[in-house]
Amino acid sequence: MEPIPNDLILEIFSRLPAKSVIGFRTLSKHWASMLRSPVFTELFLTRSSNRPRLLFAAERNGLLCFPDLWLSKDASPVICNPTTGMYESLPDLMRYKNARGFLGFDPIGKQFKVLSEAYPFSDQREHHEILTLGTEELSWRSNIISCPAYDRSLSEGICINGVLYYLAQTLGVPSCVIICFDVRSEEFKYFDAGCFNDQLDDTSGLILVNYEGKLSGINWKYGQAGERRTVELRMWVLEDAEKHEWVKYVYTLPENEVLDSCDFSVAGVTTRGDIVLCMKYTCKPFYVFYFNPERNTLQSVEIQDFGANLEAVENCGRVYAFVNHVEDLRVNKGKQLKSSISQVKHLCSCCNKVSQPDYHYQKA
Amino acid sequence: MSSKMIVLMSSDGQSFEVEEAVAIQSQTIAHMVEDDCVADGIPLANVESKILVKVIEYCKKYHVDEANPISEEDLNKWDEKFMDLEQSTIFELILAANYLNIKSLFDLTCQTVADMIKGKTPEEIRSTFNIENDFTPEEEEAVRKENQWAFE
Repeated sequence: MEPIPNDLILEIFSRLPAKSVIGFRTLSKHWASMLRSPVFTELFLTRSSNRPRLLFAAERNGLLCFPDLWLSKDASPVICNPTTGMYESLPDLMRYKNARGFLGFDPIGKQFKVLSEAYPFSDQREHHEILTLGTEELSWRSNIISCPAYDRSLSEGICINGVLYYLAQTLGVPSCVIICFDVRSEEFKYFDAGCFNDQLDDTSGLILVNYEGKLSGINWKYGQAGERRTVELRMWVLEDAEKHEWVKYVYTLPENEVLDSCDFSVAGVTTRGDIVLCMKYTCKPFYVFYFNPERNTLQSVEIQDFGANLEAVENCGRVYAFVNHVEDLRVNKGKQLKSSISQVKHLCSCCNKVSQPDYHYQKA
Repeated sequence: MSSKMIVLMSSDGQSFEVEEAVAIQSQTIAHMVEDDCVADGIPLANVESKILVKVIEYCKKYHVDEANPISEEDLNKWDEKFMDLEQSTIFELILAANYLNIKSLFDLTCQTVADMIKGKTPEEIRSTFNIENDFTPEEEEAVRKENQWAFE
């Protein structure tokens, strides 16, 4: 039989899980360099983007655990790529107590940047600091273009098409606005998001998502339908980006025994438009729920094997789910993270996010 | 209404009559049909009859229309049975799907092989793909250590 030519072997390898690909670097010198090449990592990313997955991290006793990595929560932020096990410690930054960090991606310059709140708004110091990942020396710098002053940030950020969005509360009469940070130009803009005002008391359940290309906010609350307690998903979609018009949609979820009796949160939206809900704490059995607004279907999926460690009742940990996780082999210069507990490092305590590029949301 | 038939000829001299609509799932064949050089049949010098039979079986199944109204879910189940083949046959199918430029078959065969090899040791992979190990034991150990995480 004719031997398989190298380019076809590459095609086969591009469909492997990242762990296998990294392991195959020991095949030979030729393959070690082929598997590290930009051509292959791009090919791998294309394949991986066609099968986005849910990535889970469980937090317990101050350690954040991805399937193979353990990180501890501390003051010093870290960016890590759970696919490759590489991490980068970010240089220390003086921040005020509730300062948030956001991760954004510039699709044109192909760069990741971290935007961090630093000081409360004042004339003496810049409110934000920016750090570009992938450069030789990581350092924080002040943004050149000022951000309009606001009282506090209210949500995690989401990066869509190279713009980082997050919800903030205005100074003076409290009202919601969306802060937009263009990752490439580092310019700030903002627009009204008064539709979220009635949640100013508690925005913890609200997340910003990319719903079919549009910025949206989702949260849930209990409702009532006759005798039955229902679960309602509320979604505000920025239908008109020019005029900044939001449209609100309310969905009453179909009855589901498991969902109706557990603690859950909204994890995000998949590229296919399914809203993903995830149980809050590890337990056995652990479920994730997919709600499709167009078809009004609710599907529960059992996730097995968080490991007996996390599943034991006394050990339950808070679960974070990342939707649209795509394996990415491109590696910033960084040290190898050892996966044993004895070598704990730190996770960015402000956003708990990992370096998975949000721009994958665009790939339909 | 009779559908247009074309003749495909394998490398070992066997002829197969196939509906044109089914055959043009192969981009290679589709181009030849466009260029109108199919009158005497299409010689496929790189595809043995044993493999061509499987390719034709695949294309017939994937030619979905009123006569063959199959669902995506059923196709996926069919794929699994179809790919229950010896590894060497699957490799030949990869080569054929590549040569004939049938994207979905190429994806299916490559993914099947990827799934078969993902748990294998580097030694087994070298043997499967005829890769010569040009690392010294020390060099190989160094690469392993560098990527320790992938071996746990």
